[in-house]
Parts: sequence; C-alpha cells; structure tokens
Amino acid sequence: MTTDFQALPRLGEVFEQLRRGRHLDPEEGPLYQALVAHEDGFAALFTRLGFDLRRHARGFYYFEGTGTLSDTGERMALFVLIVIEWLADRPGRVEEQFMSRVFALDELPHLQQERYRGYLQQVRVETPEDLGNIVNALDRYGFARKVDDGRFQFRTPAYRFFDLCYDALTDEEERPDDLTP
Amino acid sequence: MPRKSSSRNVTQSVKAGRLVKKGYPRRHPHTTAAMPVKKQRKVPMVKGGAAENQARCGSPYEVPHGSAAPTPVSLEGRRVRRRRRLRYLWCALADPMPADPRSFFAFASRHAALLEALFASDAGYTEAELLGLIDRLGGDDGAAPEYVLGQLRQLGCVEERPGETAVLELTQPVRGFLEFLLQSHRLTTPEVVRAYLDEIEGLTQALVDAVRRQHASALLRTLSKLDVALERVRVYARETYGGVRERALRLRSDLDALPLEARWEELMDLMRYYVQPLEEVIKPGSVADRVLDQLALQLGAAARAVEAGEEAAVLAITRARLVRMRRDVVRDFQESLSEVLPLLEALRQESRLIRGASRLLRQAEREGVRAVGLRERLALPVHRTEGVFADAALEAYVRGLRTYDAAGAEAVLVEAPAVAVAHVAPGEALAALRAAVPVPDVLGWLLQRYPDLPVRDVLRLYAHVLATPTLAVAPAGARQTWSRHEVTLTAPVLHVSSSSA
Repeated sequence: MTTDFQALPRLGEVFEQLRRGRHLDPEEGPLYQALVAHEDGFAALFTRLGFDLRRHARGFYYFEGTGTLSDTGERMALFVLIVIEWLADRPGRVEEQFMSRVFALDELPHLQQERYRGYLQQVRVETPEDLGNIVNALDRYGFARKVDDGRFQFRTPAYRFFDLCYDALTDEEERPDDLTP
Repeated sequence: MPRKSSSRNVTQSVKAGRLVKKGYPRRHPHTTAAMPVKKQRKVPMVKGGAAENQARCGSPYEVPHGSAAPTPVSLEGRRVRRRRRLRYLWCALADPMPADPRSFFAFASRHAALLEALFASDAGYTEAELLGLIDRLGGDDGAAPEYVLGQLRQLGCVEERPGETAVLELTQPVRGFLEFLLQSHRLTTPEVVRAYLDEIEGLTQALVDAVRRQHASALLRTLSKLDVALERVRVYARETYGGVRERALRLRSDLDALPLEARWEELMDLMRYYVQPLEEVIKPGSVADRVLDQLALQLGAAARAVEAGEEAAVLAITRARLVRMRRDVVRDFQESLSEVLPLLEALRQESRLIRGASRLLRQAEREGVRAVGLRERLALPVHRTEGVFADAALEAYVRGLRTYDAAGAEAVLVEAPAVAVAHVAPGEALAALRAAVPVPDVLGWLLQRYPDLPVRDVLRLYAHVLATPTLAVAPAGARQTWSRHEVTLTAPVLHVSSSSA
C-alpha cells in the first residue's frame, strides 16, 4: 500500500499527543477527526516508526506502549479500581455513575479507608496532593477532564480501566450459571 | 362496655333526629374569622339507616394546620365541639353495614383518588393522617373529611389494622377489588402453581372415573371444574407476567436509588420465585407438563367415548381451553423473560466489572501492587520530555526539515582545481618546469603551480631548481615579494630560459 504521508492532516500534533500517551476521543475535535478520516494512513506511518496505534471498541485511539512503560499508569489504574469498588456500594448503576458523575476529590474514599490507603502507599500516594497529581495525570492521558481544582469527570477512554477488570476474571469465574453478584 | 353503650345512645339520639341537621364548617367554626376558610362543604344527605346520620360527623380533635396559638373558645363553640365529639364517636364505633353496591360505587366515583391512595399504602394511616389525606384529596362532593371517613367505615372500605387499633387500612375485599380494577398484578408463586396442578391432576382422575362410569352429570361437573382450574392458571400466568413487567419497570426506575447488590437480589427473587414457576408449567418433562399432557390425553379419550350431545360440546370447549391455556402460558413466560433478561444481562455485566476490580485489589493486598501488573496491563508509553526541543528556533528549523524534499545532487561548476599535493617530488617538479620553459619567474611559477604546498616545501623545490645544472637560470630583474599563508617571501626574480636533459 502506498501512502502519501505528507497528506496526513495534523500529523505532527496527532503524533505528539499519542506519543505522550494521550488517548484521542471525539472530544479532541480536529485531531480525532483527522485520525478517523485517515486511520489507515496514520497506522501505516506509525507502524513504520515503531509505534502501535490502537483503536478501542469505544472509538478512541491510543498508542500501545512497549518496552519502558509509565509508572503513572499503575497509579492511575489503582486509583480507578478503588473508585469502581466504592461505587458498587452506592445507589445507581456503576458504569453510569462512573462516566457521568462529577467526582470531588474530598468525597473519594482513597485516603479515608485504611484498606485503600494501604494500596496507595505502595505506589507512594499518601496525601491529597498526590491524589491531585493522579487526577492531573488522568487529565493528561485523556482519561478524565478536570472540572476545577478539586473535581473531575471521567471520559470515554477510561473504559480501558474497565477492560482491566473484565480481563482479570478467568473463564471459570464467568461461567453462565454464576448468578452471584 | 361503656363505650359501646355510649355508641348506642348516640346512635339512638342520632336516629331520633336530635342532632344538628346543618353541615359544619371544616374546622373550628368559632374561629372562622381568623382562619382562611375554604369553600363550605355541603354534607350530603344519605337516605335511610345509619348512613344518613354520619353526614354530620366531624372530628372534635382536629387541629387546624398551621395554627400556632390556642384560640379562645366561646360557650357556643364548646357546645358545638361537644356535639361534634358525640357525632364523631358514633361514626367511629358504629358497626359497618353491608354496603349497598350503588352507595359504594357512588362513593368510589366521588373519591377514586382517595381509594387509590389507600390502596397504595402498605402501612395504613392513623386517623389523623387519613383525615389529612381526605382533606388533601377532597372529593367531588365537597364533603367534610370526618364525613368521608365515616362513609369509608360504613361502606366497609377501611378497618383497623389487627394489633394496631390506631391504624386504619383497606379491607381485604375492597383491596382485592381495587387490585382487579387497577391492574395491580399479583405474582404467582410456585406454591400457587403447584396447588393448581394438584387440583387439575385430581380432576383428571375424576374425569376418567366419570367417563368409565358413563356418568354424564359427573362428567359435566368435572369439566366445569376443569374449565375453572385451567382459566385460573391462564389468568394467573397473565397476572404473573403483568407483575414481572411492573416490577421490572420499577427496578429500572430504581436503578439510581439502589446499590447493585439490592438490585441483584430483587431480580433474582423475580427470576426464582415468579419467572421460573412459569417455566415449570411449560418445560418439557416437568411435573406440570406431565399433568397437562395427561389431562389432554384423557380429554381426548373422553371425546372419543362421548361422541355427541351436550357433553361432547362441553368437552370440546374444555380441550380448547387447555390448548389456549398452554399457549398463553408460553407467551407470558416468553414475555416475562424478555422483561427480565436485559436487566439480568446489564447486572451481570456490572457485576463482572466490580468483581474484576475487587479481584485486582485483593491481589494487590495479598501480593503487592507491583505483582498485579497494572503497569503492563495498561501499557502506557513513557512520556519522554528529553526529546522535546528547548530552543524554539532550532525546533522550527528541524520541523522545517521534515518537509524538505531531497532531490538529486547538483553538479558543482568550478574551474579545475589546482593540483592539491601533500608532497611533491623534486624530479616531478623539475619535469613540469622543463615542460613549461621558458619561465620568467621561477618562484612565482612554483607558488602558482603548487598552491596548497606548504611554503617550506615550495622553497625546497625552489632550491632544487637553482641547483640543477641542466637548467639555464638567470636573474631577470629586481627583487620581488610573494605572499603565501601569511608568509611573505622576498627574492630576486630568476628566469629559466632553457633546459637541457
């Protein structure tokens, strides 16, 4: 396949964002539109450059990292897993709450419950400022948007954390007659 | 009992017409000037019996809503209140009479909202609450709440909840009737289905006996009972579907109010206790299936035995009922499933999400966060800041290079370069000089011939030329100055006129 790489729109910006680990979803506007319109061209170019462009089933794009991976990913994943478990005990559908709700940092249980504090201490997250840094990272990677200093809202790419949860279950745990919640 | 005696006395007094015949204002007639008064409600006269007298009932204990301070009560006010208290006691204690259907329906048409509210309440109402409810919901006739409460009692609509004398609730007959009217579906439990199946099984045996004995009237009685039993199963299946639909709708609307576990439990209840019994009726090989198959078989045998007459016609109807019942139960089961399965699937998906999250967190607790491999699972590339240009001008230049379209190399058009020699042998220089004679300026020629040669090497060649006997070297004029590599040379000009090998 011959691709005119010069014709790929916004190549520099798209590459720069993806290379930084950002996930591009429709909210990114022109960058996302450029990717959608020239997905094959971008994918071919990035493959030649040694990057693995992925399109998630939910429609957003990202680079699958290889080699050295970001430690921030581990902290963000832990943060989100705690949010999911916390939502399970609250009224409402977890997914709907997760994706639509505006979370305030001071309402979250991360530093309030001992068990959660224990997890977070292992990744050197111990203060509200550390939590704020995780939210900043979520914002930077395109998983969330900061509403203001203390509040944030998850975005579509946060479904990647859901994938972690689904993948964690073995086939045995997903047998059809398993009716327990 | 004194109260009962008092009730009778009151009743008698009322019957004797000694009580006031005019209606009363809703509350505190002696303070009407100070209170905002709603429209004066008329007290309809009910012809005949005790109901006629309840028209004047009013609670003496009623307290005006929002009244903050006690109001002075006049002598006339006290009399009025006493009379109202007596009437109220009558209303409260009089035994309900068998309701006249016309009175009941007339009342129900005026107070439909009130009856629905009573139906919707599982906890019942205290008397004060009920009076408040009546006051809020009102009625088409504008009757006073106390009067309406009296009618509710008299028509057998409400009664005291057992063990809670202060709480009133709908009587069961009225509740059942309203269930029918309001399509409030009762769910069929496995026990109910089992009871029906037992009944049908017994009637099947009775059918066999009646046919064997050729007992026509017994056969007709049995068929009649079978018709009723089959219709009950059909109706209950329909009601169960309606109930499942209703609860599924409620569950959907409660999604934001209940945590996952509560929703899951409710859905499981619905499945286990209501949907699965329906499935039992239609599942091939189940007890219900065998019972109904047996009935179909015996009805067929009976139809062959009874070829004509009334029995044959009734038999045909019963067989048709059986077919319809089975068909409808299948339909209701499928529709119930279609209500429940999407909810079940959504909950299952949600459950997978939460179980997965909890599993990862448990692993982090047991083995440490690093062992979970969250970093590898998420696989986010590292953001390398060292690759970013700090110098904007340099970045712009390099970015500009990205669009540079490299073409073929261009030819460089310059004169043939002087021979660049790192070392020149004297013989070679002599040969070149001989080829070039006559040379008017030997040093000048050497400097031009070997432009890149260090000055010292040029001088070495110059000396070699002067020492060569075969060359005719002679002074050609005054001293001259030459420059090379910041070195200035001054010497007399020597001329080479000829050469002899």
